[in-house]
Amino acid sequence: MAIKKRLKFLLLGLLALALIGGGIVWYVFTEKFEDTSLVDTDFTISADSLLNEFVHNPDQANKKYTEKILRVKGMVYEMEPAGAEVNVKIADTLTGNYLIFSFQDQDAEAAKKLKEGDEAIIKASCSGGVHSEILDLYYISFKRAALIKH
Amino acid sequence: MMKRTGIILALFFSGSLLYAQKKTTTSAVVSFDATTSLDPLPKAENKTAVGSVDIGTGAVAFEVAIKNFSFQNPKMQGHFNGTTWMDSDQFPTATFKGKITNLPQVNLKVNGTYNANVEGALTMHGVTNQVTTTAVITVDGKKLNAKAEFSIKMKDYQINGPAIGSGHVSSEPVIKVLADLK
Repeated sequence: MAIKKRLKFLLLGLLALALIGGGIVWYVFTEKFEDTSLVDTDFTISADSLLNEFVHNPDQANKKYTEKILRVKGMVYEMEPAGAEVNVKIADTLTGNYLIFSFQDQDAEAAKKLKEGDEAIIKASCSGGVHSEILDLYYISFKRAALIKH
Repeated sequence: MMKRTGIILALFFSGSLLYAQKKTTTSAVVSFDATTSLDPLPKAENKTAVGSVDIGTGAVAFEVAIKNFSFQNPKMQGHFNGTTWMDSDQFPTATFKGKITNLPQVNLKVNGTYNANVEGALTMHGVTNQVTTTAVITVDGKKLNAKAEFSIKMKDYQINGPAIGSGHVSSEPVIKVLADLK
């Protein structure tokens, strides 16, 4: 009788473990990035200041901003097609250095309404800055951008 | 004499502008698909690749910031950038430098759609290998649209993470490039 009871508890324990394990796997597999507009902002900064920091000390700026959520204000320099969507580019017209934002799905259509010269506030995940050998300038790229205001 | 020199200089500079040969983009889309029957998650897009095509010489170059590959799944994005995969802190970019090898059949100064054979050096994860692919290039006035698809072997780039061994990540992912250059 005692053995049967123990076996029952063991089976129930295994079932519980299997359910918990399955739940964790399911969560990990189906987890998606949250809407960027709803995520806490790590830094609020102007496009000019951000470019300045990256150009003057790229190592420090990369450590500070990479994979952080930034709320950036600046003037749209160019709308550039990226497949069926558009990227927004904010550039320093003297040096050519630029920030470029690719948008999350839910903001892709709103981004298309921006025009060159618009003042925009964009919130996005910073992927850091790199030097382009092709263009011989510095650029900072962003993913999962959300258009906050224009 | 001064007038003649002025005309020659004007012709020289207008000629240079007329034949501005390098078409560029900062928004090429590079997609990466390493999905397997066991795992549909390892795929991502980077929409901010820098690219250039020289319509005179056929030189082709692309570069991409690894950290700007965007995955649907946060955990997978973390793995992709981690030390067992792309190690993007140490190797922040991937680059391709090559050329169109059948340039006589691909006249990028004339409107039309061409099949271009492209050959060059792909560097990622700090390792460089030669790759060849076919690109479909459409010329429309001053704009070029280029599409290419090829696969790479992860082991050629010294990427041998456990997820590849277990079959969760393809050992030969497919890379697609789509670029509108001007």
